[in-house]
Amino acid sequence: MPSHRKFSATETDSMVRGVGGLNGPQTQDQKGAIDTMMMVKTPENISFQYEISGPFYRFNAYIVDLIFAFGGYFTVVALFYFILLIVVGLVNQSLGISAAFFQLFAGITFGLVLVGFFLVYWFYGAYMETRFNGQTLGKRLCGIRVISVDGHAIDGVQATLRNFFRFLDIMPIVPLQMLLGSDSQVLFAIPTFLIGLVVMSLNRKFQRVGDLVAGTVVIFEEKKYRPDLIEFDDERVPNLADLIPADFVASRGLTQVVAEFAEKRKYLGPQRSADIAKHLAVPLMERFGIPADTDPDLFMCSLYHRLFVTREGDESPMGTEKELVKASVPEELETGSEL
Amino acid sequence: MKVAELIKRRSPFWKELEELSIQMGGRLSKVDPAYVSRFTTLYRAACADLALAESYQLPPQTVEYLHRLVGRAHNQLYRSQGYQFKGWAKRIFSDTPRLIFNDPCIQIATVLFWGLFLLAAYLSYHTTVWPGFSEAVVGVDGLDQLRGSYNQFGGNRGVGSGAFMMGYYIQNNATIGLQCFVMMLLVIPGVVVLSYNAIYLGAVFGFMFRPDSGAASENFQNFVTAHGPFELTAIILAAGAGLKIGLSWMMSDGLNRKDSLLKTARESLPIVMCAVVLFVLAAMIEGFVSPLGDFPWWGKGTVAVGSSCLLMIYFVVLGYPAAWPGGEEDGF
Repeated sequence: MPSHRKFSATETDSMVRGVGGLNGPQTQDQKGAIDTMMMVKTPENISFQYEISGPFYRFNAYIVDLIFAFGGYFTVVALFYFILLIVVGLVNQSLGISAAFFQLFAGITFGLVLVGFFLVYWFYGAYMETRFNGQTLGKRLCGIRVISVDGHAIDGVQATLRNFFRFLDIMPIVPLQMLLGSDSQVLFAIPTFLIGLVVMSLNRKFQRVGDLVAGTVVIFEEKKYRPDLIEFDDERVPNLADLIPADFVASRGLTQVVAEFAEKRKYLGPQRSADIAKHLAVPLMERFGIPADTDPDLFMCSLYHRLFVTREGDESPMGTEKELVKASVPEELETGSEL
Repeated sequence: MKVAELIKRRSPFWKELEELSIQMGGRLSKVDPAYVSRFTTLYRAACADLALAESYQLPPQTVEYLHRLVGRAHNQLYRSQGYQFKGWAKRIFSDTPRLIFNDPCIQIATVLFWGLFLLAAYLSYHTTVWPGFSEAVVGVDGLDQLRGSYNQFGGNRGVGSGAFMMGYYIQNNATIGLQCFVMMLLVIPGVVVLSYNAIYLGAVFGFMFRPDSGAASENFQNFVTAHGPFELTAIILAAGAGLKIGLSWMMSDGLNRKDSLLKTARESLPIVMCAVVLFVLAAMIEGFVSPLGDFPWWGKGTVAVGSSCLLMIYFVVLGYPAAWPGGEEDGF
């Protein structure tokens, strides 16, 4: 029995699933528990994951929105009155404005400002999220987006509901008077966001009350990920990879574990990564006849190099590699219809 | 094929899809069909790559990247549908009134509001039944202020201040209504808000209708008549819609609690939007018609009767179910 089969099928399986689990309902639960991932199945019958955004990250977006919506609104109003005053001043100088007309104008504009405030307060988020596919300005800047729990885009009803119920999420609102003593004349009140925070921490998808009511979830979208393979600067890596026998075929589980290790080792110190590597590296080195004093970490890197960079593809269960490649790339892509 | 080679070969397509997703994410108008067609081709290819990632034995980092890529493209492909104005006429004039007509929660809210309102008005009107009731609810200063302000009432406020007051009433009253709707999710806070408003209003009405209020009483009646029907109905509708949501997750009626909540919230939104519209109508009347001092009382009474009739037509005529247990041919 080859030594690398020391991992039982279920062990390697769970390791693999913990990384890039592809199918099966249990994957979602296992992964969700650790990494706040959400699995979505598309109409194309493809399953993919979203990373769910947590409360504190979303708070940034909320602050940006608050500044944008209300700061923007008050700026517009101030500008409007500034221009209006200049115009009124000029007209008054040349023609003269009656007090009644002035009163009429002031009344109408003040009324409109109040209605505008009401609209911005209750409908800014709803409008933005509907118009811009689940993103307000703040969410866009923070690279997050609101989607339905089933993975589809949200609609107007959901956007409106989740923004209405924000009023409950910011509760309890503490009047500043309560903190400063009742003599103070400050009427300002501070929203504590406690209900929202507690509700979010009680469910796996970090849904606040508004999200639960509307059936929405906030996900990360624009985090930077790279598709490339890991490159090692160390010259010894390819050399050592050459020592691995050409007829060595790695199981799927082993391949995944090696890749996982290679990607995570940059977060580990040299001692720690050697410790982790040796469980797999030492028996394999023994089998390949590689000197036992080789750095296990280095060996794992070489194995990665061998498996992903220099290895010729092995028979896959679903057909030859060439057939698969052909199946997945439509012809128009291969011929390259450029725009 | 080597994995490295495969990734190298596909990367340009993935990058192109990423670029297109970014471009489409920022779009404000229609996109060129050629882009859409290219986008969907790339999207399908990326989906296929992701589906076959295990067969290709792609490393986790690449798989992760593909998950993001497909997710992102998916969000651009299936964009939010916006507000679909087409179905709105049916929703406004057929679905919503039927929903309201049939809804037990709105009936509960109506009974609760009017019951407390009338009780408070009675207690406040009769000084002997519960002495000091109105003072306890509104406060002595508040009552003095109220009487004072309605003693001076009677001038014609003009269009300018009418418009300002209309804006103020929309802001203030619709906000209270929406807050009541939202608080009703937890039922008790919402019931407290609704009851408080009912008792407060009842106490004010009872107090102002007392015979010793003099001119203030007459002015008060003159002021509140016209906009009363719309405004009070709006509060009840907002509260009833909220109560529907609040009870839905407690009494889920065979569904799981979350689904029941989602379904009911979706149904309740048109009702609360109806309430917002009524608040706006009430504010228009309250801003422009109610303060007219020289407008005869019967004129305002006519406005009140007219608005009540409109409400009746909306709730009863339009709302009367076409066939029991109809009104659910298509659902929401």
